[in-house]
Amino acid sequence: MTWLTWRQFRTQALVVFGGLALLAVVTIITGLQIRQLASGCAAPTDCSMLVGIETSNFVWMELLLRGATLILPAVTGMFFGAPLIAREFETGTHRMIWTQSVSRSRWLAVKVLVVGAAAVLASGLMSWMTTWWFGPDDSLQMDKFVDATFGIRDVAPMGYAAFAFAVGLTAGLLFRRVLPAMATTLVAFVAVRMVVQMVVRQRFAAPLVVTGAFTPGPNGPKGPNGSWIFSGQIFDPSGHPVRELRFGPGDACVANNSCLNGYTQRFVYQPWSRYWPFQWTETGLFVVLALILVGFCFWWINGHRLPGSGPRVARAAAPRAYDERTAHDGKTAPRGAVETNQPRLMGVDR
Amino acid sequence: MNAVLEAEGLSKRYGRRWALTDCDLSIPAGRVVGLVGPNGAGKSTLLNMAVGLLPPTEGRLDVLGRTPKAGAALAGVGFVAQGTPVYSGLSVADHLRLGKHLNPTWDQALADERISRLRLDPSQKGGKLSGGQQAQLALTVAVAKRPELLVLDEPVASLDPLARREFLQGLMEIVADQEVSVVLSSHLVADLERVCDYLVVLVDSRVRIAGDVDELLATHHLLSGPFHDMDRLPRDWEVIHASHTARQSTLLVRSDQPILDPSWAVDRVSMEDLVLAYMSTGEGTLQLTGAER
Amino acid sequence: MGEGVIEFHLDIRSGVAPYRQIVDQVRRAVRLGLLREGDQLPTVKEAVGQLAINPNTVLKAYKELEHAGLVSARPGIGTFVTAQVHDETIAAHGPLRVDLVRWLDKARQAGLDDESIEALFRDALQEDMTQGVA
Repeated sequence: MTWLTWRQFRTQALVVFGGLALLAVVTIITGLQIRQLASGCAAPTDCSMLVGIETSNFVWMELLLRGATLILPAVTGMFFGAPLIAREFETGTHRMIWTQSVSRSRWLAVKVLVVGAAAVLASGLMSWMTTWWFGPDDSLQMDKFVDATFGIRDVAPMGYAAFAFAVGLTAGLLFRRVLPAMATTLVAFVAVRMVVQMVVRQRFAAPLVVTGAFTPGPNGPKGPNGSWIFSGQIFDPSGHPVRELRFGPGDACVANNSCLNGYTQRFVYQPWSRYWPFQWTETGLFVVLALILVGFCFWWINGHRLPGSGPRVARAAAPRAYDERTAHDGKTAPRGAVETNQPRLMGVDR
Repeated sequence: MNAVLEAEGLSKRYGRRWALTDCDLSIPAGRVVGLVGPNGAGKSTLLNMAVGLLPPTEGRLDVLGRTPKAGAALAGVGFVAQGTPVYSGLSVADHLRLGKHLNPTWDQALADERISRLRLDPSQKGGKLSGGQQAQLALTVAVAKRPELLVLDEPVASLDPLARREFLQGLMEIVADQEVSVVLSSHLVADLERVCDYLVVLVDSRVRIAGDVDELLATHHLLSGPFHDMDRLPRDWEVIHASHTARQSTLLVRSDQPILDPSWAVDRVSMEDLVLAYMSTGEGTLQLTGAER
Repeated sequence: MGEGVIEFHLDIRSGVAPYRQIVDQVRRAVRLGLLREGDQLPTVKEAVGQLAINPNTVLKAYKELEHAGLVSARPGIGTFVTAQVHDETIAAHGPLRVDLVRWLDKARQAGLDDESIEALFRDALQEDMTQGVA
């Protein structure tokens, strides 16, 4: 069964992992260049500017890595997961493979383990490369926790990949056609991913609040380092929120640098220390969703009977002779509606 | 001999439509069984249920003494589905390897011998084979696991006459070689006439008649003679089909006794006429030609 | 050695049962000298592989030929022709024929038409054969 899974999966695997290998080569070369530059600079301020410049010199590399890490889970979901079962239905080969001496559960289990693991591994490798490449930049900018970056670093993409694979598998099983399954996978995966990113993630833990004297930063008040900031506000000495602070040469406080006295700021945020717990929580969430879907697929593929609801045997009498002469006894009227405490059994195949 | 397939009250419903209604069958082992009926009669449904691809809605179905279910229970059953699907990306040799890995009773020597005798190129991809070659490949995969029962769902329906003949030749060689029972379905009686020794006629989701071909042909008679009132016929005659003109009656009758009434001209019935008669509703203008001299 | 000396052909529409056609073809071949003593008939597998018919049909034909003394089956090897058509059997034809004509007259007087006569004859022959083989 392992041989067969590999044999059917060969091409997709080679395309994806071959692509990853090529990407790795470019990543390593350019990543090492960046690190060299970073190690060569003298002062911290020189460094941040230098690495930032270098990184943006490689802006195409930046886009490539960010884009690839972002879409790879969806791609493997669509191309590894969706065709897995759907292709068999579409070509009718399920009628060949499910009449061999292997149970459907075993057939599915091997396929899910091999191909699913490959999907997760691919995103894992991709994420690892990206995290490594952006390493110097990340440690300077300290912005891994923001929405746009969180999902394309470290472990989270593996969770996404597992989930997308499971969505593809389920869509393929229910739609039985590859293209509709792929389309559904994309839409469903993106929807869930966006909902988690925008609504659920921030609720993993209650955010912290910190107030203190106003500290100016490059784009407004400076918040806690590395944290994921939900909101930041400035208050004037009397406690009213202000939106803008502007002091001109005519103001008295400019002379003795006391313009900012009495202003306070208030941040609602998730601290940097929670970055890794959040990574694992998000990954765990998607993995659990994936397992639920895969479990559903196993149940469905085995005839999705509820326990204790096998076919009714309509009679307990002795079997009639096989050549009973009932040719024209007029019993050709279709059966009327039958009782329905039995769930409607839909054939796994038609 | 045990029955290879036993059905009791077997029924299958899709939504509102009953694809099989109340089927009772007891098919003995060691036969080549023809399952014949018009399109949509339920043949595919019955065969797919026999190999565990569909669950019954009602009733009981036992194949080789067990409920059909994917896995070990199907080790003794080989199946060739309608359209003889094969993996278009896998080569002929890959298909055999598939069979070997997934079936503990796989006989590689038999598979190789068949492939070389059919002159199939082991490295050719399934998608590049002709329809007849795909059918032969599917049959090889089903047969090389040395099943007790071979089930084939309209295996020759889409093949040209030569490919059809070659398929049946190959199938009969297998039957001659191994101890295997065969159930094959077709909506063309001509294919089945040559090879079947047991017949099941399925029309409109029901089994109309089932039995040994020899016995069926011996007990059915085509009678033609002057117009007879239907009520005046002997009681032990079962009239399967009747048609009348003002002066003449033509009947297809089932009776264990020979017809010795001189007012009737008696003709033997061909399998095709038999099936046609059971497929009709009983009265009408069905033209039965009888077994020609 | 796998090739039979003769090949069978089948006319499915002729109204003659397939196994009977095979029997007749073997008899004819023997009579014409195409099959001589010691020649091997096609194996069952060869015959069905060529005709695409049920193996039981061939087996039935071979069994009848063996019962008639025309061939003998050697298990694991094949079926071989054992006898020529003897003249004695032809000599017996004359008196048999006379008896038959007499019986036919009787049947016609009883009112049987051709088809009924044939049916009756076939029925009796069938019964005789099954009793002989059993």
